[in-house]
Amino acid sequence: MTSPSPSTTVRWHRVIGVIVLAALFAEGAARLAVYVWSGKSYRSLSPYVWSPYGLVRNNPRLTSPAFAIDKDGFHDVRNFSQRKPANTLRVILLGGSTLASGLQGNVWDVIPSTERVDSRSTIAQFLRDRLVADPALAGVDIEVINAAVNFNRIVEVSSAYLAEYVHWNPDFVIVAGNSNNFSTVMPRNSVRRRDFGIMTMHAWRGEFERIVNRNDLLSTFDNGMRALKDHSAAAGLGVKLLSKAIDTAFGRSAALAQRLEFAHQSTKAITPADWVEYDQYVDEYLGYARAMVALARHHRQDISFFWEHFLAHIGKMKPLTENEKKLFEANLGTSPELDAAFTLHARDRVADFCIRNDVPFLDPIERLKAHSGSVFIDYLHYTAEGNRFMAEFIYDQRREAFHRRAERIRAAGEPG
Amino acid sequence: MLIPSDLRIFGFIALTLLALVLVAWAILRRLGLDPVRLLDDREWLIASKLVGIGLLGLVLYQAAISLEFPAESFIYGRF
Repeated sequence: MTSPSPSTTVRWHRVIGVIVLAALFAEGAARLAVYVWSGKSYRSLSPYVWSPYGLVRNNPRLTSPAFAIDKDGFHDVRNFSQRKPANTLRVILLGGSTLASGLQGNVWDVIPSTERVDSRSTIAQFLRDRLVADPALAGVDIEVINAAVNFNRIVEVSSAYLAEYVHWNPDFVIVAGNSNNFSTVMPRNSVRRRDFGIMTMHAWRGEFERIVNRNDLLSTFDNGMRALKDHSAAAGLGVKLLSKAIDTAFGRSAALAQRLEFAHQSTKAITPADWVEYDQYVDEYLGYARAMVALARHHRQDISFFWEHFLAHIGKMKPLTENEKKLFEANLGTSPELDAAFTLHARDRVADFCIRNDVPFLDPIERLKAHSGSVFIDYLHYTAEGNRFMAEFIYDQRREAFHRRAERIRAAGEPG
Repeated sequence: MLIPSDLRIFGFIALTLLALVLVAWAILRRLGLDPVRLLDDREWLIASKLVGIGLLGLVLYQAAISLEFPAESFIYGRF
């Protein structure tokens, strides 16, 4: 095959036409591939959108084979309306990745066949099924809304509730997400430096500033790319692949620099904070919790706090499955005893706050100690069976309250 | 970090793209059209350079974002 001999002038219309045709071809192929992969037409691969209340929400346009995000950013295959329908008992779950069926960390190194738990199998759906099956709630419509967003801390959870979700008029508010606030030992002087946990800026805040507030070249280009990615499957997939490749390259470069001792390696062991300082940190959390409890009471909403345990902290208490044993050993970290001591200290303080304020505190630890089935899919999050287990636990803990509220809903709906 | 599901997804997409290119190429040849002859050698070089510049821009853009916000800060992905 030979190309024609070069002409004296460049046929720019042909050059541009070939590039446009190639782009259209790539777009068609990318859309076809996304459809076969996810069973849905391409809309967006961006998992989040900005929110004025609580920084981010799940992106309703997300195209994913596992996750379904409804029009308001909730993890569910159905839509809800803010105005609660009559004769409905509504539960809203607030928190982070544990509720959102997240899956993170070294799980694929430990158990390569692990698949994500989809949006039909989170605690919310199992709790709804359990409530629907309860004869004492017959005749009352049940809604359980999963309003969790990955990596939400109490700062973001409380902002979202105070400004927005309280006005969805839930009968029950269940607050989780403690793992994003309490997970490790706190170094000494962190409170003075304000560089630990909820005292720091959220990781996505920097991106928010670049995309929304800054007007430099990178920000301008980024906005253009974000618009392109939301309209072009080829662009969305291309940028996704590129970002993973570049992150991997940077990660490997950093590891190489460490190995060759080009980079500074701190050998100083962490000096833990004392309990007085750590209590100041926990008090910051409790300030947000107190605000949520006050507003819930003002609106006659029943609020409770659910505690998520890390596998590394309770792995010696729960009878583990074979997969859980592997995950436990792979996720002990460098200071498992200290991490557990700090996190359980925070748990005890939050439990004490709940008791003092007559707020139910839902800690599944006793139930976990007696459960030999699968619960953990990674260092923290739950398998589908684990989500069902936690939904059953929440139902059992709050059953009487659900029944009482249903009676009131029925009474309010009766004529005369 | 690329995880097995990422590799499966991107591998699948790359194979789909390759298969479509081959099918389209065969159809065009069957219709008597040789895509190579759409442009001459110099024009193919110019088209390649234009696409290359675009891709280089994309790599620089993504590298700038990765430098500004390292991946390890975003356990649940970038915004």
